Amino acid sequence: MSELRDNGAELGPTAERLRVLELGKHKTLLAGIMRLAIQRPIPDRERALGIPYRLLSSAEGLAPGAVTGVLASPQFGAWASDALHCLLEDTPAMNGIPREISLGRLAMFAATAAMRAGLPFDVAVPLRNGSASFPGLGVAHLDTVPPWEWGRAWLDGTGCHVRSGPARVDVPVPPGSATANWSPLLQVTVIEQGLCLEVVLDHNDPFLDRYGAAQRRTADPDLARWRHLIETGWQILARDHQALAALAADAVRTVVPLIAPGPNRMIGGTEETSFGAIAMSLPPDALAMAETLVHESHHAVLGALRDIEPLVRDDDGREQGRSFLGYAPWRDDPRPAHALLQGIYAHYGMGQFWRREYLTGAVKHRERAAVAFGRMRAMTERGARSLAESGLLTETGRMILVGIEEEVTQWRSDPLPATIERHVAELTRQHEARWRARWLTST
Amino acid sequence: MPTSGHEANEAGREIDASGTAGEVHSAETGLLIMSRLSLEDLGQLDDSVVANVLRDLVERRRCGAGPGERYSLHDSTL
Repeated sequence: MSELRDNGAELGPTAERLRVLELGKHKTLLAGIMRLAIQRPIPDRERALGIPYRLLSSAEGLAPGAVTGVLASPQFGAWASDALHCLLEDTPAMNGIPREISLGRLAMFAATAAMRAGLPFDVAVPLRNGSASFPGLGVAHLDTVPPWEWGRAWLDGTGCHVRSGPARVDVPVPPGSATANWSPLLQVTVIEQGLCLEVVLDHNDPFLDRYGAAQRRTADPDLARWRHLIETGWQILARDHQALAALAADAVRTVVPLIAPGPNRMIGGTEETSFGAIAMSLPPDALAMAETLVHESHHAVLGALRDIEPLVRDDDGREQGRSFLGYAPWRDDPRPAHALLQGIYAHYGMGQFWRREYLTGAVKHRERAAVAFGRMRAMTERGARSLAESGLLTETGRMILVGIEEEVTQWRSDPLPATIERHVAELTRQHEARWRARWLTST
Repeated sequence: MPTSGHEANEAGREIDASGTAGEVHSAETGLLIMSRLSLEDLGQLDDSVVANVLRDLVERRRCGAGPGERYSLHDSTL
């Protein structure tokens, strides 16, 4: 474990290494799926899994990188996790859809890898609501009626095509330009100070619709705004926050756009089966985009670390109906220990970001950075105290928490203007007072 | 990248030798080895090796939370 923590992002594991381990996890899940599927009565098992697996394997022989890219993708992790649980529980449906159709999503991964490898293919593919979604590339709209059905996709000397009955869509190769009934996903690559961020804005993958918030489903009229904010947010990170940028570059490959819950509000999210994807509504400016990349990449990294070793022990009190739930200064509801650690780590990351912005950033943003730094510092400190009381951290979890506390203690030597210090203290006090009044009055 | 059944068998032995499920280093070693295997070799791994690495993953995920958890759907007022 030492090498995982011995990197420039202070306490964080190297996200690059975690990406490799996530690939190993996805391959393990796939191996489990292929073995379990043999033991289950699945109509069209060969069409759903056998043929796509062999196509993936053939593409790997030709272009290993193309297959690795697909297998390491967040949507593959999400699909593989859902598929494994569906097979373990032997349920006839997966996410409300007949499981052979959902398992057949492997064909779309295989077709995408083969297309990238330039390997001709001809496979059955599952269509949902008349569309074939190529992971990370785009969507072919066949506009057929059934909510789900099998279609056909093939690559030949004339290009890539998808067909269902009389409906046919020609997918351009390479697939980056929009044509009739083909909607490519927005790809953004930005290099600054030698650091590269390469992300896809994916509003259509059926296995990335898992953030508990409304997803932008249709072609986004704000695509130019998204591109601008990703580019300018990355420029801030790569120029002034290189360790945080390096973490985000490895941990963020896909951005799932969400609908903001209201004017002047934004949401963001990360989910643990889909390492590499983060979700957010459109941030108001480049600083907010940079902060969100830091925030969500910290969640992603800590989540991936949990695949290697536990950070929080099982709560023994759960069986007696008295689970630990603690105060989290960033939430209005009590939180279990693992969620507290996630929040502390994310706020610690944001604290690093805003501290530097406050100390060395643009003068015009200094007050905003001071308030944000003060808030992150206070929330990280208070959250850490709350979690320490749980007694549920493993040795590694405890080391992470202690390391964060030590650094945040040093941040106390960075004075804030007195008015901002008072403002932050008042916000902090009010939140906890409201929380205590709501949750502790009956105990 | 290994491409033969021999490599799959070697990988299986290496995973088995890295420790039993629940030991700290077995998960990392197991996942690293799995990441390097070709799909052909993945198909030739002993079922017991796949089951061990998978069990290890599932057990770790059980610690502290259930599978498929969202870490942060946070809603902030700007």
